[in-house]
Order: sequence, then C-alpha cells, then structure tokens
Amino acid sequence: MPGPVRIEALDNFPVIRDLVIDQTSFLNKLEAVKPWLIPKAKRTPADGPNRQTPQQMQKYHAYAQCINCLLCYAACPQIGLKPDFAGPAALALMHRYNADSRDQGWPARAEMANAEGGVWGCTYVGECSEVCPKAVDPAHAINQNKANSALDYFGLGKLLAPSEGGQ
Amino acid sequence: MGRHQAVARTYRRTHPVDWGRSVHRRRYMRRELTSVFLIAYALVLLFGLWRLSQGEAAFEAWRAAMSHPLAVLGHAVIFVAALYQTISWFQVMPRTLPDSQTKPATITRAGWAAAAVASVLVLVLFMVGGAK
Repeated sequence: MPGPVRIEALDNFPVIRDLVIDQTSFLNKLEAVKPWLIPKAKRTPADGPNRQTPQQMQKYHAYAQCINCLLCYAACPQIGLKPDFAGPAALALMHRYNADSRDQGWPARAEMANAEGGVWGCTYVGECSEVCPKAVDPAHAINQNKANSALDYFGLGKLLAPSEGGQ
Repeated sequence: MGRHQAVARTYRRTHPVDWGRSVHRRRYMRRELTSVFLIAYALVLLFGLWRLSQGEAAFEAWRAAMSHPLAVLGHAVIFVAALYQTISWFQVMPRTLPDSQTKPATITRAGWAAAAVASVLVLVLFMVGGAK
C-alpha cells in the first residue's frame, strides 16, 4: 500500500487561491538571468543555421529540460529563508545558456551570478535535484558555477567562455 | 525586481523552515553540523600554539591538560565528526565540479583516497618528528 498523499499549494510562494500560487517572483528571477542566446556578434537569418556539434550540445542539454514547474523552489529551504535568492530553476537555466557554444553571455549574466542572491545564495542542500521531474540537476548547475563566479572575481572570467571547438 | 507585478492580494504562509522534512535536509544538517567540531579543533590547536608562545612550562601544562580523560573524550568526538565530514563532503563533491565524463562515484572515491593518503602522511611526519 502506498502512503498517504499530501496535496498543497507550492511552498515558498504566495497563495492566490486553493492550489494556485503567484509565480511573479520566479518570472522576474528568470528574466534576470537573461535566458536567451547572447552571441558574440549579432546574427541575421542570412547567416544560416547556427551549428554546433553533439558534444557541444551535450554541455547544456540536461539543463535545457527545465519545464519551470517550480517544484525546486518549493523544495529549497534557502528560498524560504531568502526570498531574493534567484533559486534553482533560474540559475540552472542561466548555466544552460552560459554552457552553450553559441553563447558568449557570461559578462552580461555575471552580475546576477555573483550577487548575494546568485549562486552564493545556495548552501547545497541538494533537495532541488531530488524533486526535479526532468533530471535537470539544478544543484550541479549552481555549485559548478560557484567556481566560475570565483574565477570571475579573480579576473579570469574569460576562461568561462564555452570553447568553440569540438569539446 | 523585474517588470512583472505581483498579484495584489495573496495569502502568505509563514512557517519556520523544517530542516528535518526530508532525508536530504537531515543529511545536509548533519554534514554542516560536523564542521562546527572542525572549528572547535582548530581553536584547540590555536590555543596550544598560544601556550607554546608563553614558554615551555605553559606548553607542558597545556599538553598535560590535553591528556586528561575529558580532553581525550573530546578528541574522540571531534575525530568521529571530522571523519563524518570527510566522508559526507566527498560524497557531494561531484556536483561542485564541472560536467565531465568521470563517474560521480569515481570522483568521490578519489577524494576519499586523497584524504586517507594526506592523513597517513601527516601522521607519519608527526611520528618521525616526534621521535627526534
């Protein structure tokens, strides 16, 4: 026999009514990480397809599976303690674009990543990755970017650009 | 923050964070708690260094105090905590490193092996140094 099932509105969000929550805070955090490709030079359709190798796609593919379900925000104790923390999904999607070979956007996203509410707001409880239904592993995305944020602090940010070669 | 306006009338649930809610939260709290014991041990060593700066008599008095049964018990507790911290921290280390083809279990075992080698090296160095 399975155990009892508890149904409730997502934790750490204001409740509008019944199970409906207000996800405004998440939408603003998502927008703040600039979740779109920021190429080095502006491209036009005349440039043709922006190709990448399967190896380059593998770098970010897992993080691109996020469906914005917000289960990770309900699971994260730091979101409950610090409402300004960008949170697992937004930071995982930030990494998804930073890790893309077609993207050169780390400088544009660095301020957000390095902020108190950025990657350093995470204390690595790891529950986000446990509840993720798409195996995105936000804890991995965030915690590997603490090293990136530290490199950026020491002026080594240029090492963070994804390689344009095969690896 | 941001251009999206929050819904004006909402109900905000306020409850303290439940750190025992899941096995992952409990594991996290145990891992973090053991770091307090590491700080305690650092303070013990620093205190010994301070006593050393006060001369031989003070340092010998500190050493004698360290062999008191309570001090030995304290060291045993700190040792267990340090062991738990070492084991549990390397278990979560893989996700602090960039994506790679290396299996997480391999990274964890490499960390444990490095910790074991370093511990033995330090122990041997102290035993060799203490024998002189």
